[in-house]
Amino acid sequence: MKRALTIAAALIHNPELLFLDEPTVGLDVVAARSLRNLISNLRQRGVTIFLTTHYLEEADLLCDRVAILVKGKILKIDSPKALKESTNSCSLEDAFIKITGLSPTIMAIEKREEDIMWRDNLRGIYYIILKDVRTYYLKPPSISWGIVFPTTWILAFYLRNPVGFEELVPGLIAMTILFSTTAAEAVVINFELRLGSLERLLLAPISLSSVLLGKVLGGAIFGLIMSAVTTIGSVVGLGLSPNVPYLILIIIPSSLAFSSLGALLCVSVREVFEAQTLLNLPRFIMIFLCGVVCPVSAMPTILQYLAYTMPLTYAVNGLQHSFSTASSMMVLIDALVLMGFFIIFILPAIKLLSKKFE
Amino acid sequence: MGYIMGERVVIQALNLTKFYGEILAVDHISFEVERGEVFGFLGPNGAGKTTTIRMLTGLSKPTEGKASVLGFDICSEIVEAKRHIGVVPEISNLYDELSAIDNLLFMAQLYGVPRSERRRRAEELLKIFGLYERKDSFSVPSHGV
Repeated sequence: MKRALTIAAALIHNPELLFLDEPTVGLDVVAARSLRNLISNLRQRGVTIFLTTHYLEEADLLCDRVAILVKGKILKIDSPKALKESTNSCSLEDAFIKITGLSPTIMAIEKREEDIMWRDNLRGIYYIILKDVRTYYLKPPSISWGIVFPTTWILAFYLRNPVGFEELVPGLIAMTILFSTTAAEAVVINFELRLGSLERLLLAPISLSSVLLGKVLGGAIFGLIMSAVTTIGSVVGLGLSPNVPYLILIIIPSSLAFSSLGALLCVSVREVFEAQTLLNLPRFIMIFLCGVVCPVSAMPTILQYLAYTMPLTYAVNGLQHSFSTASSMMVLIDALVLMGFFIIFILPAIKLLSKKFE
Repeated sequence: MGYIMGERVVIQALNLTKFYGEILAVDHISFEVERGEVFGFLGPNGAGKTTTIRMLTGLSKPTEGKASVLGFDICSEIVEAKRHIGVVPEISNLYDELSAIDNLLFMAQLYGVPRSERRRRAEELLKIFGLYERKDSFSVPSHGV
């Protein structure tokens, strides 16, 4: 069923050129025959087919022309009939064996200019986000790291000392964004890397940057939803009155920055658990250094400098401003720095991911 | 625009070469595939067949040489070509989390099949492949077409 569905998926957009890599491997005789019939039908409909196989009888039955490839070199290109005739063989297999001692043949080509397809890319980004929301956001790793963990922290702080809890609210919202976005990235990127389905996305007419951007925006949306829940919960529960435009101005770039940080770390490993483990390093360092539990200004100078190299500091800072009566300038600066982090993280993430497909 | 409808040559490769580190996987191959033909790449395992497909479908960049697919350069314009090509990899890359019909609908979305046609097209393919009765399930590993 899986093989049939994989072929069906490759035909969904009526392609005029179909690549089939070892299509009949693992199929029984009947299934292989119905696949060959399908290939003949597609050919009659004018579809060009490029297939690889190491079954020579299959190639003899199906192919108009074949290239014989050994150790990365093409030894001969011709029709099966001509190959058999020229080597005086009665089967393609005999011909193949005789030919595997001949020299290469060469031909010529040229090229053309470019075209921008931002609409394809936008569409791709949109549907990748939708699919990720449907398939991944309720998986155990995103629930445990993205929802359970921040909720537990918030409850722990609250139960320990409900008095003065308001002061912790900005830090806890920032932490929620950090954990939910990065947890989401580990799931949406590493599940797909492991399953090989990221390759499926890259075969579609969408650029690699758009695929990754879709993943990062999806993670950011997950972070927005989680932080909205935390924010609304604490604002209503504690009767706080934050400046809502400021909150939005900080939460959006924070989600983007942390989501792209998640993507950057996740594309460098393969498995989901490796990604979660690697992510814990910046997560925990930032929780302690960036003003979530104790103010940055109360730390030794050297740690303060360190704190200002980390995005969480600006998220916490910006959120604190949103809950106090700060000037819009200060909030704007935090937002801009967070956007800067987003760009600093997403560019190498794209680079790393494209390295995987070199 | 690189793409010309009805052009005779669909794939052109010239000295296409791929090194994985020190290992030479594909060694200066040149060939043309013409419109409407079934073109076979024959060879033992490790001959470079899959590497060639990966280069022609944009999953891997050639170390040397060049190729065009449907008139589009595989290094700079492959995204445009992908609109018109279908790929069946050796190992399935579908989503186990999605049902058969949802896998096809997702692909239809990615490839920009018009909304009004997606479901009809997906159901038609499921019928052709005899999967229509099981469209809402996705039984994981099973053999056979």
